[in-house]
Amino acid sequence: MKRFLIRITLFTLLFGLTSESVCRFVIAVPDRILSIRDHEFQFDRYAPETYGRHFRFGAGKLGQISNQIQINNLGWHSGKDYRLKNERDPSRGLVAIIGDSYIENRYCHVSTHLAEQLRGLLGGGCDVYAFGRDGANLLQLVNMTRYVSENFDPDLIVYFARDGSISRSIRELAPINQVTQFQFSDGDRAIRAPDLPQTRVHERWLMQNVASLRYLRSNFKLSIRNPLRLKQAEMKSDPMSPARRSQWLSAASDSVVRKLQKLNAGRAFMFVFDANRLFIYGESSEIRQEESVILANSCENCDVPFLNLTDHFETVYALSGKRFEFPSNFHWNEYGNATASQGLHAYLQDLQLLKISGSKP
Amino acid sequence: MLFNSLEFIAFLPLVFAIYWGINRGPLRLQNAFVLLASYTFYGWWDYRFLSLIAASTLVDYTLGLLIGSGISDRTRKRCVAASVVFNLGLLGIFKYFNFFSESLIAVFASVGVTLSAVTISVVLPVGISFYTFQTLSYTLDVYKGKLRPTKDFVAFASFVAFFPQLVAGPIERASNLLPQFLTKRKFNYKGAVDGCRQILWGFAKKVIVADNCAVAANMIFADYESMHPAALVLGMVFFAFQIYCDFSGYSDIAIGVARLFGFELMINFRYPYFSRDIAEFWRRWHISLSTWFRDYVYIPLGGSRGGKSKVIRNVFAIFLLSGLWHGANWTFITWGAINALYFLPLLLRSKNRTHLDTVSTGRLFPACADAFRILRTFSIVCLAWVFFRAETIDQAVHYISGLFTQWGEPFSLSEAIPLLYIVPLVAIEWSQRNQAYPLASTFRSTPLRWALYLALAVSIVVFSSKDQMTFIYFQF
Repeated sequence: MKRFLIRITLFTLLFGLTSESVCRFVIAVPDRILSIRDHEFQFDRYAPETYGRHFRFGAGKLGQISNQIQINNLGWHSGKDYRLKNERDPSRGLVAIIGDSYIENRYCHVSTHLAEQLRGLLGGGCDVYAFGRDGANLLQLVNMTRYVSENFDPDLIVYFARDGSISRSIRELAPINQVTQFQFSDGDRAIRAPDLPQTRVHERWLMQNVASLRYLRSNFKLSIRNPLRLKQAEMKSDPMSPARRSQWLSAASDSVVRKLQKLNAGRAFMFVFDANRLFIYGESSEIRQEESVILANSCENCDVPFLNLTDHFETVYALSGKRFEFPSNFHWNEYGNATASQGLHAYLQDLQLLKISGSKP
Repeated sequence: MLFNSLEFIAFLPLVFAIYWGINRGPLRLQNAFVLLASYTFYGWWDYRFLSLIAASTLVDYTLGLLIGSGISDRTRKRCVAASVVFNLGLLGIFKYFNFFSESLIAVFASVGVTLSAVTISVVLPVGISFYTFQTLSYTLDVYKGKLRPTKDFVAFASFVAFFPQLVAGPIERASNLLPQFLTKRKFNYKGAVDGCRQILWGFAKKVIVADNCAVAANMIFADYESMHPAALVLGMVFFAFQIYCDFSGYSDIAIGVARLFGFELMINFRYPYFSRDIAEFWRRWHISLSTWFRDYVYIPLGGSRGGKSKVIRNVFAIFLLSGLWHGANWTFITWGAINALYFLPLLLRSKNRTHLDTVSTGRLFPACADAFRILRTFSIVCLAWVFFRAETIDQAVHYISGLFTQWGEPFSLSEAIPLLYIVPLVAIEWSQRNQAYPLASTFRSTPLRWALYLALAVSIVVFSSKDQMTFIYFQF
């Protein structure tokens, strides 16, 4: 027994060392970047102590996508520091883009982000700040708007949503409940605070310092959740009728758009939507546009401009034949960011939503 | 609890330490601990379904004692019938009730009679098909006089719920496993090391090959209508390796874990894709189930004795039952029927036992004739797998007809990526086909051996797939 235990311990140690070396030196395993919860506005952003540091980001098996992350002075992934409203040059306009991981965009270099590309297209008289947070749902845009309005007072806010943004806002439809959500119990709609994961100090330390654990977590869904139990819970819950689901999605979408309208009284704002792109490439006959139609209706009812990027992507793909995302990941690549910014810029010009001197015609 | 979960990584060393820690105490205490660990392992998924295992254990323990207590033949028969009805009844309620109810409604509807639907909404308890068959084997063996009934309830309950093989087999025979619970186990260094190696190999198959093939196979099967025939062929091959590596990987882990605790479980797979005909395939695939059906259904029905019609009936009976055992769906039954049709000609021409030896023994590469036979067998097995994998028979038929008629999207080489995992697996398994499992005997040099183990273990981390976690056979 003693011999066995010695050998198994030795093998475990060697295995740990080898995997850690492979993860650190061969695969681009993402660094763990410290986040803090903004309790006033109820969302997370990167901690101030990360300012000025560069972090490694990697996604996919063997780190097919790798990038360097740069955190700015206010805890956002951007190559530029953001100025608060009292520090801003009043002659310069400001566009704020609020959204999820597509806007945070850890997959591409900061210089190629949608915000940066849009700034280039808008000319010198305008700044574009991106406020993206991985996993943000539609309801969270409200919290983020409060933060953005209070701290930056932008001239225009562009909200980004995509397939899943609305359903992730509804507790009963979302797989993860770590963000603020609607809850539709007993026919009433209420806003429910997030279930924050209880991260223990030693867990945090391990994740911070052990690359192989981070790799496993991002690629192997390493977690204490039991998928069978989740499946069982899923099976036990009442199967939701499409009509009921659609009703909830519409109610959530209407509610968010109305809230945003109230918060943005006197300020221009609009929605940009990115739907399923597979059908553009002819890889799926399914055109998942349910959430885009729902959000477009909510916007129409409240007279809020709404841009569905799908049409623009389809037209551009027909001409260029180039894809807008990574082969192993559906987030926009550099080309996707550039195309989205062109589509957004053209729309802003058509609607003349942004009346700022210096903006390119 | 899943073998490939964090919980199990913590559970296994803990149970191992306590199990051998109390080894000097009474055997009953150690068995009680195995029982506790097994119930914890199963209850982690849903503790309420432990009552089913407990009920099955209690019923078969009592009936076993009754059958062996010298009662009349008629009462013995009644006892064994009660055991069969109870165990198959559990399966019937939890697994097949809705299927039979819906099928009956469909049959009546086809002749214009409308019946109101009676279905029950219940989750299929994980592993129910495995442990009911295992405990049923006990009463049947006691009835046949192959085994003496045990009075040790704890040992019997531990045998029924033994956690390494509780949820996905191998389906152990009472005559093999139960006596091991009745005798004192000794820690065996070689057995434990061998167990670790087999666990490693099982994980490698599951995580590297099965999970990666699953992603590709799911993609192809989900969109098969617009796929090029070459992609459809790949879809079949990927699924064939997914199901093989998933299930045999689980069996390897189960056998390995059991070895760590001093138990020997039966071999469940013997390189089935190197079979030269379908009969050999069925001697090498899911051995614990096929021998179960052979011993408890096929032989009692008369086996291959009697007239042709009787043989045909018996063969169809075991293959259709085997299909039905996998799931309450016509696709599984069709899969069973297809295999029966493959197997029958061999049996009727008495050629079902032609290939009993290891293929191309002593050769580096297979002889041309063997290679052809292996490829032919693999191809027909893959065709049958389409029915196993498809959601409906219609879908399976369309998939197969698409192989010959559909020239959809051009074939992209990127779709063939899982072959990078399959080819090394086949090469390794071929070179080691004389061993019980490929890592059983490799290099003599310790550093080389350790380097191989480390490479495999690190590959499990590096090549793990994001999209798969559960084992396919859990749903059966």
